[in-house]
Amino acid sequence: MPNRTDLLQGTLDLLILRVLRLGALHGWGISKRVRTLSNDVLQIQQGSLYPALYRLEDRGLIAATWGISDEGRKAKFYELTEEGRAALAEERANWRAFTGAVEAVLRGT
Amino acid sequence: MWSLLRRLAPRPDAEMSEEMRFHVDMEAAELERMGLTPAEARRRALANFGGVRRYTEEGREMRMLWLDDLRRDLRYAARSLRRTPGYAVVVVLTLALGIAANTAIFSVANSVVFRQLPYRDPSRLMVLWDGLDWMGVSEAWITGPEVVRLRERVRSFEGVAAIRIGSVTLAGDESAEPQQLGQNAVTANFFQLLGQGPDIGRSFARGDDQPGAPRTAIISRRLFTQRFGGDREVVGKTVMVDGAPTTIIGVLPADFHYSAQGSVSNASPDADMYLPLVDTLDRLPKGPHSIGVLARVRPDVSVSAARAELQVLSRDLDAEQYGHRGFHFVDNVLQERVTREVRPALYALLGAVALLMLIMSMNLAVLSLVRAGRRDHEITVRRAIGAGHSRVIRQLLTENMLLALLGSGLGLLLGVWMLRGLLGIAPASLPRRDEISIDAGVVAVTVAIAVLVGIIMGILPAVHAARRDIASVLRERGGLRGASRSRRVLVLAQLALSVVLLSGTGLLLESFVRLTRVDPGFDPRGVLTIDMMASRAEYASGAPVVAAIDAQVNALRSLPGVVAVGATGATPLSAGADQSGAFFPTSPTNNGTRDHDWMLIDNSSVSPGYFAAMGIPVLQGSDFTAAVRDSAAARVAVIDEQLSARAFPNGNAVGQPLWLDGDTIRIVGVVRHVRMYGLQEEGRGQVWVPHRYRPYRGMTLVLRTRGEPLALAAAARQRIHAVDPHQAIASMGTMNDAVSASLAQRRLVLSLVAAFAAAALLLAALGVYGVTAASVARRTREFGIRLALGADRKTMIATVVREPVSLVALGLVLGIGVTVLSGRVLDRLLYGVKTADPLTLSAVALLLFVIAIVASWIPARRAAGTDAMIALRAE
Repeated sequence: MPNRTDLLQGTLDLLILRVLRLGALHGWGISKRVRTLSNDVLQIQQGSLYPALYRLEDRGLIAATWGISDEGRKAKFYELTEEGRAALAEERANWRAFTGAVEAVLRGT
Repeated sequence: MWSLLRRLAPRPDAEMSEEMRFHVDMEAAELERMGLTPAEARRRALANFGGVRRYTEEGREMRMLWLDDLRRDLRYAARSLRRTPGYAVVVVLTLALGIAANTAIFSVANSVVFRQLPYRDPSRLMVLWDGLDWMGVSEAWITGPEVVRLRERVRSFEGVAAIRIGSVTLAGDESAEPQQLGQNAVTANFFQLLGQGPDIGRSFARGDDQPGAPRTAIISRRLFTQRFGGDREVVGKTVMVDGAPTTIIGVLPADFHYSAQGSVSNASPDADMYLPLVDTLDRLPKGPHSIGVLARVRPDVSVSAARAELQVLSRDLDAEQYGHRGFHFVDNVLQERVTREVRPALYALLGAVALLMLIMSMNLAVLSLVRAGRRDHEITVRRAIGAGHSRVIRQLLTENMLLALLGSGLGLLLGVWMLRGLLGIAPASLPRRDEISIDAGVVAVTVAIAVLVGIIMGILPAVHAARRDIASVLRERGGLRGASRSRRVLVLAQLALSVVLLSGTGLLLESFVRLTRVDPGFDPRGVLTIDMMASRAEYASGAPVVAAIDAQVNALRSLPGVVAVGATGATPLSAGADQSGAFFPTSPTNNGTRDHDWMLIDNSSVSPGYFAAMGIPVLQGSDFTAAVRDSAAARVAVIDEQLSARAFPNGNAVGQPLWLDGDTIRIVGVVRHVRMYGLQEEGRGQVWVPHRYRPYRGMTLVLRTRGEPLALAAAARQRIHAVDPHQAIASMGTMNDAVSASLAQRRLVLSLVAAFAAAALLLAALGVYGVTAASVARRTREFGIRLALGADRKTMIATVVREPVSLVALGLVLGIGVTVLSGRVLDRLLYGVKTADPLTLSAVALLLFVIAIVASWIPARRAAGTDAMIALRAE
């Protein structure tokens, strides 16, 4: 089994926004996409996923609509709003700056 | 607002669990594809999810159902308030005091002005008057023949009742002294029109008011209890009223009130006896305006239609009897009439207490903003772990609503107590006084106010908190930036409203002081007044009455401690004078038109020595002297300075003739004008005649005494009964009391408004202090740097004080603007000043600046005392 790292608090929002940039997804789709993209390293705990989705929805970064899934079932799809796109860009820059800084420190030792 | 409501609405539970179920199903399908059995796949999917149930519940916890939500919010609110008891106590107490003041004042206004009179369908009851504007009389009693016309002509009226006020003497017996009673003579339909009447015995019946009917009477509950010991057997008993046997047929309930003057506040106590007005109205002469009219509009006719019909009759009468001088009936709905005198005062008080409530809730909003600022971190953390805006807003609302409700509950209790105190000091002339109580309407208004205050207190900080960016707060732990602007706006509004209250107080105070300085025309110190009626049948008219009153005056003159004695038909401030037309045939100001030359004047009869006893200065000529013994010599009059100046501007009034009520009499003196209707009313010109010329049965004995006048009351009573054991004494009092009673309502309104203004000022000062202190705290580093750069303490203080002072300046401009605009409410309560009184407004401005500087001094000193190093390190 691959090593599944717990998600750092605060990066969850970034991951959700990132995978939604490719198009609307339902909750399960989001968690699967994150797992796939990270080569099964990142596993979103479902208990964190839905609160995070609602929080993002409240902040107006994502919007939800009910639709039909590929399997023909009724499911709730989330997609990025304009604000969400802007937030993603910003969060992404922040993240790069942060990891860059950490990397620099690590290299320094 | 709508989006706020939508956010507050919880996400439907079903929608959420469907989403969770979908997730588990998808997970199970995936696991199945990886080779697990369907049952195992489902078990694993559920385990991965951590149990659908648990998550739906947790989901619910964030967006709980309303009821659960409320319970949880309340528990959390109570816990969080317990952590800051100081805040909770301050808020609850402030609110309780505000609500209490509001409850007390609103109860009075509600009971007196807004609640319906306790009669049947009271909105259809009207009182009518003759409008004789060309004579300067806007409301006169109606004449007998006019009442008959009203009855015959106005079909919109279900009935018209006539009332004539007077007084009668109830003869004494073994157990009681003779008693002089206020009496209303009414037509038999009076009680039936009102829809309220005797609760013991019967009301007047048709025929009781016809000439020749046996004499009957209905008595008040007070007379029933005090004179007849509450014995129901009194119904059917015969008593002597004005020397004639009269059968008591009914007793009125204790809560029955009616005043024919239409204004209960004119110090007119309820009549103790109702007699039938013997219905010979059509035979009455056309002249005397002597009858009060109560009419009820038919249920199928609107009040305005009745008014229109009445005006048609007005025009006819104007043409027939008044030579087109502009006669018209004046009609008042009874309810409005009864409260007319007190309405301006009550509205002003309501306005004042509403302002205070506004200022208070703004103060509370500021407090809750400050508290929210301190809790910023806590709130932000709660939001970061998943609480939405709505949760935060609801939480803040719940906390403040809890406080608001606690405060208003306590306030209601305090209000009951405050109302009792208020009634204790309310002037006796306040109409409907015994009807005043706290009712459901008052409680509803109180609760509405509490809810509103709770919302204001909760929403403001909530909006600010919700707008905050989570990350930035968690990083810097800073204060609420937008909140400080809101706070300044709130303090500005508080200042402006305080200015309104302060100006109101200043103007009322100025009016009051001016009134106490008014020369009433007499000297009220040491004057005892005794109202009496020469009652026995032989005194019915003419010389014996004069002799009886002279005998009393003489008997009292030798009483030790008495300086002077006289008698009058109308004491000052009593509004007891009669009105007549007077004409000065030799006056140089006459221009030959009747309406100009005939003046409407107040007149009454006095005994020789009255002016000295009342302390009314004789300016020219002389008082009536003992020479006025026989009736020929009594054809004289004393006029007041007002008439003298108008008719004889050259100052030669003495010796001139005067036509009064169809007779020519000679002016022998000019006296000071006395205030007849109250200190604030100038009143009409006055003509005094000797009581020998025009005898009055009811007169007031006036005793000028050394020392305390009431100390002589018992001795005076003895003397009077020594002269005539059957002499009824209606009441005794002092002129000092009459003066202070005439100021009582003003004094009360003034003290209440002043108390509200003081509270408002305190709150505004706290607001200024708070804003300044907060701004000093925010600018600590700046001050540190400036001090380090060598700024001196004075400059620092000036910098800090500049902000509150400019806030006060702006508050003053707004407040004075509002005051001037709201002048209409206040103007009717003012005496001798206008709303835009520069002196008062400058005084208010000065006071407010002083308060602002004092309030900001402490934080300013702190800023100036900042240690540069400490300040910089604190960052």
